[in-house]
Amino acid sequence: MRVVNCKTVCREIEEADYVKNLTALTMGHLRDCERCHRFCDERRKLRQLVASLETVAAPPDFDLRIRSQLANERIGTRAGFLFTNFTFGFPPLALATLILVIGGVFTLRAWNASTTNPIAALTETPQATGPSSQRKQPPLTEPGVRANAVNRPLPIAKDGAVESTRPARQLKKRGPLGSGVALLRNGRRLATREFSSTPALVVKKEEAVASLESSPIFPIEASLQPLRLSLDYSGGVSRTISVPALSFGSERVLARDGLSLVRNSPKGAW
Amino acid sequence: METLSSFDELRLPVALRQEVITDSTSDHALLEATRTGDEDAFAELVSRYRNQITSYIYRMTNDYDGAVDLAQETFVRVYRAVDRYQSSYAFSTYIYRIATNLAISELRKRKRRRLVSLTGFFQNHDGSENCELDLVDNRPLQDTELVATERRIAVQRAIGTLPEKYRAPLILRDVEGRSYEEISRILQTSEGTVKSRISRARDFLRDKMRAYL
Repeated sequence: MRVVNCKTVCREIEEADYVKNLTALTMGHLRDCERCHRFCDERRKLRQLVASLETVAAPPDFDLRIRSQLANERIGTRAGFLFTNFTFGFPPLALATLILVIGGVFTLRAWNASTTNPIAALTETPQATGPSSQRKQPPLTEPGVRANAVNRPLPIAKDGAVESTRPARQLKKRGPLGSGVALLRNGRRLATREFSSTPALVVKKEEAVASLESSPIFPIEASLQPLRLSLDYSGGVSRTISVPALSFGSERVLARDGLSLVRNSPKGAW
Repeated sequence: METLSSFDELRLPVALRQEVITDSTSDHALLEATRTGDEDAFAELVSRYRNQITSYIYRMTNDYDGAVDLAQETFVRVYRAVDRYQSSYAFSTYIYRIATNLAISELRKRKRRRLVSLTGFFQNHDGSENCELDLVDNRPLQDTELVATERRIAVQRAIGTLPEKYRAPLILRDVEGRSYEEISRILQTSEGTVKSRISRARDFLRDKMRAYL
């Protein structure tokens, strides 16, 4: 025999369409159980309330609207492919942006890899015109390296010269105190020359080309040729930057006791 | 104690709400005719279901203009997919499923955008327009009809506060009068889940409508 308790009765009331569908056992239980009777009464009123909502009618031109929309769609289909048929939400836009960004990064990296070239710096050995031009100076390049060649990159160099063909990792391993400094930045090799370790010239009093009592005139070394820097890309493109030569002494006037002692010193003399 | 026979009152509104299809042509036959290009057959289908679908979506969204648009979209989708329609289920189940999906999708959009229907403030509760802004008046109403109207408004608002998953089965069951089996097919879930959700929805409503019970 089926056991009737409050739980099964409540479930039956919940699922029943009408009270006639309730079983005799449930009906008997409802007569005796105040709590289940209250639940049944509450549910009945609630369902009556919800059922009291009336059917809302569609507007009179509803059929016409649908016909019109279908006709428009047929015309649109015949017209061909239109972007107006698409509606882009946030996720597709975000995805498209992400794909574009990733594609852009890959393209940029590929382009960088293809254009990674050595940048060669070319310097010229200064040619002194003064009397002390034959003074020994610390060599900027090793013998055999054509450091004086104009507009030509230095393929191999040590101690301050540009080394363009050396692998980037080796360049990075160089000590910071070395005369040559190579940097690896974004796959591009940038070679620089450091002059901090190059000793300065020592000027002696005996080397003065002229003496104005306490103000001797010393010649200085100044290159007559311009400094040229050549950047050579492996793709066949090269650029040359030319820095003009400096000249001194042409208009220098030293005055003492109101007299002009030197009006036009020789070029290269100070 | 009230007599339990008053539970019979439930039968009347549900029976009234169910549109009895007296036309001998079945929905499947009309769909078959639509498939062959008979537009009158499709018009007949529209005339059979337009009020039901509009009303159902209106109860779901509480916005008449939006409901009409979505009902229109429902029929357009039926027409577009008429070639793919499989007659294993009743057409009403099929069209209610489309309407439910559209309504739930609209509710989610609104939730994201926090949309509030401006026209909804100026609509009558039967859907007709040209109504003044209806501010809430908490004073007790004298007229019985007005009381009934107020009660209906309160019910509609209470239903509107239900979560989507509870709202749809409750409306289909208690407003549209669909069977559990049909609701489970429309919502594509099990009958047990439908029963449980309807029970939870009634509990929610009972708490909100306690003053009217």
